Amino acid sequence: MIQEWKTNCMQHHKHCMQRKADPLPKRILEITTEYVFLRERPRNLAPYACLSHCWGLNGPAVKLTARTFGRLRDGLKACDLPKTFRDAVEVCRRLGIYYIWIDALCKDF
Amino acid sequence: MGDIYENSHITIAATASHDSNGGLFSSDRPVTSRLEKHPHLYVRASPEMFPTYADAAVPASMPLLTRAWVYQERKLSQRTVHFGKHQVYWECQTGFASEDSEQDAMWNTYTADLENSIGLDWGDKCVDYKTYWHKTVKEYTSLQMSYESDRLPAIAAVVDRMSRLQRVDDIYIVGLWKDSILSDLLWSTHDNKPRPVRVAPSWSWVSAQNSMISWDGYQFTKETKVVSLEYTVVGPANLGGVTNASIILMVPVLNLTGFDELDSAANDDFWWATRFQDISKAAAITEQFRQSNLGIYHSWFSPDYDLTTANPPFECGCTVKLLVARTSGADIGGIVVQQISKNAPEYRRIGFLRVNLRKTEHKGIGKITKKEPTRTATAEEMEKETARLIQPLPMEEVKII
Repeated sequence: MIQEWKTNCMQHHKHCMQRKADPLPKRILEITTEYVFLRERPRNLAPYACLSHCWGLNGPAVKLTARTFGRLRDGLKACDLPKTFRDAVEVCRRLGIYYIWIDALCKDF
Repeated sequence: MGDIYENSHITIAATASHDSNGGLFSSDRPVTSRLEKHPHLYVRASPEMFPTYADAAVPASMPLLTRAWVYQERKLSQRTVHFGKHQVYWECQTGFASEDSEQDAMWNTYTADLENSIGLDWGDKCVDYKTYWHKTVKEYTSLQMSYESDRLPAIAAVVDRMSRLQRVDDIYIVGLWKDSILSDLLWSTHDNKPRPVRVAPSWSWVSAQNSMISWDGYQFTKETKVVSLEYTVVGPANLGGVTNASIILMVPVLNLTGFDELDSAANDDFWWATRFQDISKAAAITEQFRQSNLGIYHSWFSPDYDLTTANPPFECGCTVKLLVARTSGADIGGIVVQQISKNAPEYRRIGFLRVNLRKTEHKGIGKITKKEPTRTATAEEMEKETARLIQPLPMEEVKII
């Protein structure tokens, strides 16, 4: 269903931006079969997704900090991410999008 | 940060989740049951409606849509897929769709439809940026914010986009735009929230912390002018942060003196309540109204915040003025300002007054009582009458901080 909406939007909506590839933000998560990797200053163009979510009272269990930076860069198993992030990664995979920007994991805190 | 959402291919919205553990997918299906007499038919509870932007009633199952920070993420995204409790919704710059097709729609980007349109009308084609901004602020201020200090930052990406695409040569100052400032000043709120600290000049809607802001079609007369607008910029332009801000207007003024005759000894909440009701009555006993053949049919004062929390507190004997504006119909009103302290040259904005006028046959009577006959005047007649009422008012320079 989502794929169908997306195809329709990409093909028929003249008010929606129709770029096939986007300049990637300065930090982004790359999605592979099992892992997500934090990429810095990627040079390539590729479609990416963003996650819009509630932080809740305490915020997500995993955040980008000086301590977690190395772990995220070396790759984190998608199944170790908080559930909302994990699900979003799964949606990306199914839509054929291999980059996702999640504020908690891509912004400095 | 805004360009991250603007450039992204798609935004995935965890609309039904309260935090990062809620996930996107829900196995919760709406309650359905089979009809006994027609076994091939099922009934289900009517689905929750996806709320419009300015909708105060966001369903409890969509916590994401109550968050002020999320407003610009949604507004800036090219396309968003919302994972709801019972179904998935699609939102893009062109339209809206859902699994049950209940609210499927295409957006209008034209001004005339701004008020009615339900959602993502970016309005890049919208000519009336002024109305568009007022609508944006109204939608944005209806949302929840954990930290009041985020008020300007959480809308900055939208401001950024507007100054890039629509208001290229304009200047953004604490939530208002310089080119349309006379109109932007005429905001009001009904929330009456406390104001523990001053975070913005009193003439900016940002000063009414936590309150839902709206514009109700009031305009200053064409004689009204901005004499000066002074401020020191603090931080990046898209935040619009300022200090030492003041604005001087040359504006028709009605002195609201009538309410000041109350017993000022009883300085408690009740006293305050009656005092501010009296602001709306004060207009009625002014000389201008005595001389006109208009009566006040209804008047209403909306304080910008809970004025009992004013800091510094109000002093008795400070002048209160109405900076007069009007609607295109039979309403006059405008910004109510009060002297900062006795004999001070500066004023602070304290609220907004609306006065609905009717024509009365009895000359010289201010307030219409129920026994007096009122005649329904035509719209043009009323417009002329209110213009005649405003026209002789003194024009004064008023400095508001």
